[in-house]
Amino acid sequence: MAKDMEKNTPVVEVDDLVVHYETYEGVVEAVNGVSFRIDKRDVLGLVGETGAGKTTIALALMQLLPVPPGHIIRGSIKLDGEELVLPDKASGAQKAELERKMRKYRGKKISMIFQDPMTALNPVIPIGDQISEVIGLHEHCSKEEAERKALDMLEMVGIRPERYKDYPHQMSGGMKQRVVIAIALACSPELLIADEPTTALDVTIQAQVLDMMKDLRNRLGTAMMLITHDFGIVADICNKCAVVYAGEIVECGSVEDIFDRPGHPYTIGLFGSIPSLTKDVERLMPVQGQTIDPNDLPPYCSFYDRCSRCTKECKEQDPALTEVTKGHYVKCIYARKEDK
Amino acid sequence: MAKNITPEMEKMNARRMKRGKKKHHSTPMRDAWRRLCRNRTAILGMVIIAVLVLMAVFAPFIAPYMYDEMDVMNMLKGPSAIHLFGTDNLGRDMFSRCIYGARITLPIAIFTVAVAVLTGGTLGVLCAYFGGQFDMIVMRLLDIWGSIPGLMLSIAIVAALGNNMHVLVIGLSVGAVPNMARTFRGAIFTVVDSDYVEASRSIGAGNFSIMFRHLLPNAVGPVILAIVGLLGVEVLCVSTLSFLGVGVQPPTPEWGSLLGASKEFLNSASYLCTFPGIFIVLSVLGFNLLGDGLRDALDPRLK
Amino acid sequence: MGKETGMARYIIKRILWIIPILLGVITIVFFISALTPGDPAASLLGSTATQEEIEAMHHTLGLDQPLIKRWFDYIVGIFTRLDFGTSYVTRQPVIKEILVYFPVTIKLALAATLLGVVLGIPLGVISSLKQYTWIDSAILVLSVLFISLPNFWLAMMLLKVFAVNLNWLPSFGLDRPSGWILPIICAGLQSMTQNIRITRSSMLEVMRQDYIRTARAKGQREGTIVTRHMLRNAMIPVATSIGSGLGNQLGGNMALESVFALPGLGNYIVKAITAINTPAMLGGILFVAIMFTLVNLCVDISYVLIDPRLKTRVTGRKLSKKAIKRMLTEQGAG
Repeated sequence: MAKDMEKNTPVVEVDDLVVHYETYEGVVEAVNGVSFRIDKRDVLGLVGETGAGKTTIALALMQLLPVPPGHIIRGSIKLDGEELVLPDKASGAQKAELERKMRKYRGKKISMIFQDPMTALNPVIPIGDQISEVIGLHEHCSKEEAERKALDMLEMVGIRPERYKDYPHQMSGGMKQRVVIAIALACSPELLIADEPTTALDVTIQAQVLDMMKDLRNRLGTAMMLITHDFGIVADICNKCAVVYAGEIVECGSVEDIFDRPGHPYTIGLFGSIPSLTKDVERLMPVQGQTIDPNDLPPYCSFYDRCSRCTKECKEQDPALTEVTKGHYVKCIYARKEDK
Repeated sequence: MAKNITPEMEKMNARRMKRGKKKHHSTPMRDAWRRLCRNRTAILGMVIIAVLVLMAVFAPFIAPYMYDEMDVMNMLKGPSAIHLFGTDNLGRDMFSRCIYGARITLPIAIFTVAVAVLTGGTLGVLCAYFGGQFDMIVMRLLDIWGSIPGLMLSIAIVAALGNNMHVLVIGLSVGAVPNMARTFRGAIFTVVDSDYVEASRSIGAGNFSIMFRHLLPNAVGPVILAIVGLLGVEVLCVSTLSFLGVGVQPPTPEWGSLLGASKEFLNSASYLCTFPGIFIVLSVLGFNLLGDGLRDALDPRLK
Repeated sequence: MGKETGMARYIIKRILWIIPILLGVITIVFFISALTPGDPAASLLGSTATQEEIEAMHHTLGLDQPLIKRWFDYIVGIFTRLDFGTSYVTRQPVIKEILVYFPVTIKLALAATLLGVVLGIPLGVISSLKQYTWIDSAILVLSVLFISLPNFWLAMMLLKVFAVNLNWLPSFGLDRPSGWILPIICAGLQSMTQNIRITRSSMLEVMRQDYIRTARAKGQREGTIVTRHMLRNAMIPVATSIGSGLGNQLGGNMALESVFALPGLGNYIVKAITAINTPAMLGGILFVAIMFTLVNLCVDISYVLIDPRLKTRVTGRKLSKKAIKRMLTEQGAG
């Protein structure tokens, strides 16, 4: 661990992040004590079911949580060593200062590809102008230059420059997604968060988009956080992987760790529910039961109700993330016993 | 139970304890009703309307005088203990006339809305359900119909057919039908293509039964809003017509006609113009507040 | 190029559609007014008139013709000679009188609409940006209060205070420019409230759209997000509301004109009704309906120009007219 620190400072470091959504009907515990770090050149895959809190983590990093109802309860987010979570009693001036800083960082230092390309673009502004907007904001250049760069970006994502003046409704879903990607990449961010960037795309374009992201990592060393529920994409592009369940990271480590030696029953279950071409399996083994209600989490292991290996002890404590091999953490009381 | 207890959660738990443990069977309509009961705007609106309706029902017990009783000793006297709102130029008690006015204005508005909803609603439902040529033709006719400003159309009808309550109701509702039909049609359009219609058709439900048992209840949100909104509008229309001397005629104490009759006393006895207006404002306000509250309660996004 | 011709085609179609609308409107109002009881000839000549005199009068007024013929002549007269008939009372062509009264009505409607836009849209935007604060609540309370006020009653109350008690403003007539102030305020408040409510709800709808989050993710300033990203989207439904508001002002200020004794079309129509002056009433109502239709036409066309989505749908000709109409009504409802 200490050696890693010397090697390079992390682009982003999240520690014990807790995010709640407070509505009249109840408090949703969306993120519960999540910690991870992403270094330069790292691509971290965040895997989990719908509603596990992956997008909330991403929005917290961007400081774009909808407030209200979203609140960061505690924890720390350090972007390039700079703390983004204010203490509880932060004054208005501090908040304004942070917001001013974040405005400079968003789009430049940290940018995000949003999940749904159909709604992520402004319907009344030509797509080219939507790209040049972000360039104009961060690159201190003339309007013409920003437009020229936006044209370059369009070309990079494979859209003909004639379409600069087109409106979003004139484009297909895949093209819109590429515009969204162009916006996110326009200022070569240090950290790119991609929230299911390929879900809306068909397979060929999926591959193109992933290639584009890989190329970006190789050329510029961009750090990335990729949110997905597709292990195939994780295997393709990520070098680190974290499995999220009920707002907690239940297992994280290198992609090899997770794929070859999954330690948490949930991870194993997730693999069990993916059809495999190479192995001849009688039937798929999906994870039993329903996703837990984040309105009502137990004080013990959240996975207890669905776990195939649970025992009485599991109901007595909430297990901590335990390091089973170097850099491979599992949040299960039996993880240590099995591996050591 | 939770991972990280926050003060907000404790508040929530306290609220839950107070509400009691009875578990509601949750349906959209019941949820909306619960939200409506929590909505202060809507409650205020309902209270205002309830008070005005009670006032209309029990007018003979509340009003100290008969609405046409003249007190020749006290003509054009300002508000006093004997005549709360003062008296008009014939010595009639303004307070009693305002109270009785609720018996005129409110029923006309309610009947007008009822007629407009029945005719316009039926047209709209038929259009949405049958679609095609039928829909096209009816909507075109409604476009023409709606091209005449509603109030003008009502005035023309009332002027032509003479002014009694029935004609007034018909005239006013005719002005409101095109909008009602469009609202119903739009509301039904949003549900008509859904799977449950297909499902009920596949189990052999008839056209009529599908229309009124399945479509209408599911399109009920915008329709309720339109109806409540129209109630306020019609109160305004009734009083506007009467104010202009086209609607309810003077001896009858309709709020608008009370205002129309007191217009000439604005300089000398302005209280005559003040009080009937307050009753109009209150009733329109009641319906509008209820409508606003309903809109919030029926919006599933605002939980 | 294809775009432009498609556009022109839509606009021409939309303009041609007002011919059947006008025909229908004329027919409806004509037959309603034909139901008016009483004999205008008899009431014009007074009780001393003989049967011959009344019949002669019938002939001069054209009342001896069958109804269908009169209806046909009336339509022909309007479309060929702008002839709306002759007033029973003044014996003047109705159109001549209308053109005297109409400027007051349209000026009042335009000024009120302008006031409503200038006050209403900013207040609506502020209210939406300050949602859940006392500012928003205050604006909402004011707007629900104003929308519940009958404008003629508000007019009377303002007259009482500003003309009678304070004697700052004239109580009727338009001899002095200050005579316009109270009517415009009374009519404008209504339009303002309408604009506040629609702007606010439309803004709130736009604010929770994903593309606003995208704009924030670009690091855009909050102020620019409001002006560049929110307003243009939020103004689409507001534009229709302004148009239909103008239409409502044209046809809905009769009581206001009556309180302020303004020589406007509303007052003209009300007087015609009380005098059983059928041609004047018919002509007045028709004229308002025609203006109303023209305003709606402009609204529909401007709508297509504002919303790029609608523009390509219309010009792409992939969508049926019905679908466009449905889109329009959806937008209006939202």
